[in-house]
Amino acid sequence: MERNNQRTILLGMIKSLKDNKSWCGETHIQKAMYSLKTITNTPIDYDFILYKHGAFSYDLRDELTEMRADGFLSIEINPSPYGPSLAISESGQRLYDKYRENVSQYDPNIDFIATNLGAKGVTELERISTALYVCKKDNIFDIEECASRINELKRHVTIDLARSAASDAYKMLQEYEKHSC
Amino acid sequence: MGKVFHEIRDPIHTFIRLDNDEKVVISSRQFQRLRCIHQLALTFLVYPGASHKRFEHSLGVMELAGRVFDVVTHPHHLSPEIRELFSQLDTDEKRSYWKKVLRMAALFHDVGHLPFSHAAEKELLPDEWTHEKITKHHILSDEMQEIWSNMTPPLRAADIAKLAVGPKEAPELEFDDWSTILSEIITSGAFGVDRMDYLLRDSHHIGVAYGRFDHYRLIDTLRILQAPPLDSKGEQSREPTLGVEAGGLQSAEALLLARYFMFSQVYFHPVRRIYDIHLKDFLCAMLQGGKFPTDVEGHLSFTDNEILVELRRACSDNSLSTSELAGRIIKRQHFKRLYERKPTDFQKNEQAALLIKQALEDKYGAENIRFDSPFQKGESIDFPVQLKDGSIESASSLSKTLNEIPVVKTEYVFIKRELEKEASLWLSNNKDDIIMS
Repeated sequence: MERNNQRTILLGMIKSLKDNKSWCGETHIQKAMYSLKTITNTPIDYDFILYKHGAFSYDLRDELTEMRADGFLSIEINPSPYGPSLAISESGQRLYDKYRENVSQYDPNIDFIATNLGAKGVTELERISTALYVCKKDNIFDIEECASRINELKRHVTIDLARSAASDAYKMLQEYEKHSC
Repeated sequence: MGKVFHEIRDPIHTFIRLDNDEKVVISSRQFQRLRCIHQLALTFLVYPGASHKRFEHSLGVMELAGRVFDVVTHPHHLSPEIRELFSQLDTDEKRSYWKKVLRMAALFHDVGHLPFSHAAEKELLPDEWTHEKITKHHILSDEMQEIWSNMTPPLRAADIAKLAVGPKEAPELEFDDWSTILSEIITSGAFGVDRMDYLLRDSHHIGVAYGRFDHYRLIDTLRILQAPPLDSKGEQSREPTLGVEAGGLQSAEALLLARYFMFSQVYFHPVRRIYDIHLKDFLCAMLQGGKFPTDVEGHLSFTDNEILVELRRACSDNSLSTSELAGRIIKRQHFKRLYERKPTDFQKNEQAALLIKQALEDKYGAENIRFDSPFQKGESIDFPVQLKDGSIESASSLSKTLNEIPVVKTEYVFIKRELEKEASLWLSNNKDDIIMS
């Protein structure tokens, strides 16, 4: 996908997450973009692997860093003890306005993901994105099997929590199918 | 009786200590090749002291990796919650196995580098190849497998490969919490020892103070901690990650500041960058098919030495098609910086530098123009900090300094030096039109 179009999708996701009361830290954005790619098949070029807090993309991390360097995004400091949030700057808004039309067909996908994930905290997002990753990569669609795989890879996630994450992930996949029909 | 431990003098760490198995690995032809790979490519043409090699850097990374491992796995430094996640620390045997794997991975993490390190790796390797992938192939080669399996205890090559290249380059190797933490000690995160060593070593050899920080204090305060609270919603993640005790926060700030200064003052120096581009142009023309070989033997056959000989030969033989390209480096006839990103231009059009490059190519020919847009990748300023009462907070909520450190990015347009004066005048007359087009 053309660079500025992809950046516009990313900015659109950040806006939509904020509208849905997301904390909008880097981890929240990572998981939302992974879900956008995996659940809605939006053709973004960021490659994801299973790493920090679940699905993670080095490309996306570099993109967010570069957009900070370019002044399109800024860091919002939160009160102790919490991590920072990312916010769209004035020039980020201008970039979004300039390219928005090119990618407006993906707005419903962004809305679907932001509506479903916006209110969730990092730990829940970590588990859901890990469940999605496991189910897509290993082709596992059985909740018990998925939960045991999550626990094997992420020992700090208990089987009970992994089970509930797998169930949430499958529900989202089914809902998107219904939603897009 | 032969010696069990050996010492190597080092300007950064004073002594680097190694055991007999590590000595065998250092003697391997893969590792010895690093004696002939400059750490900073052609930077010695700008900073004459920058002639250090990947060889001593890799020794330094091994030394620091061992120190960090000892600190973060010390029983007094692990909370019960973290301790119960890692069966790898259940016995002394398991612990020493993993320390040995980590040190070997640190030693070998750079063996896949092409001649002149990072310069133009993307263009000079076939698609899907990176120097990390070559590193992995060396570690998993029959030749090295024999060495790993003859150690006491025998080491699994896949464990070494995983830690040496990290999850980004080896996602197929499957990283659990333990291998993620260990690979983070070497290659990634705010506190990777690769980063620590290159900042200290590069600044020492170049002769600048920017890269220094109190790495002794920083390493002493490193801990495996639960992730910091990343939001106020629900419970906190229990994912283990590298962080610091509160007393190490200022040393961590100093490391990240050192990185900022080294990127802005040294690594992104325009003349250093244009030499990388000229080297890439030369290599693309010189190499068969414009690419370096990726098989083990082919890779081992190329070092900086072979390339430098080729550069000198091409430069002195005008009949060769590569003669002019070599002369740009050997005779110091590098292209000159004509334009560097300006915030005011960028505000008007975020594609300003690219448009200027295109306009100059149209006017003076693409062969006389080069473009570069380096930026400081891999920044992540947040990490957990453990306070005296045992609670864990986000570093960004505790440190104003961390939040203020800029990310370095620039854009350069270079032009053949003979055209510089004319093009400079032309650009000043046309720049605004170009940017607003």
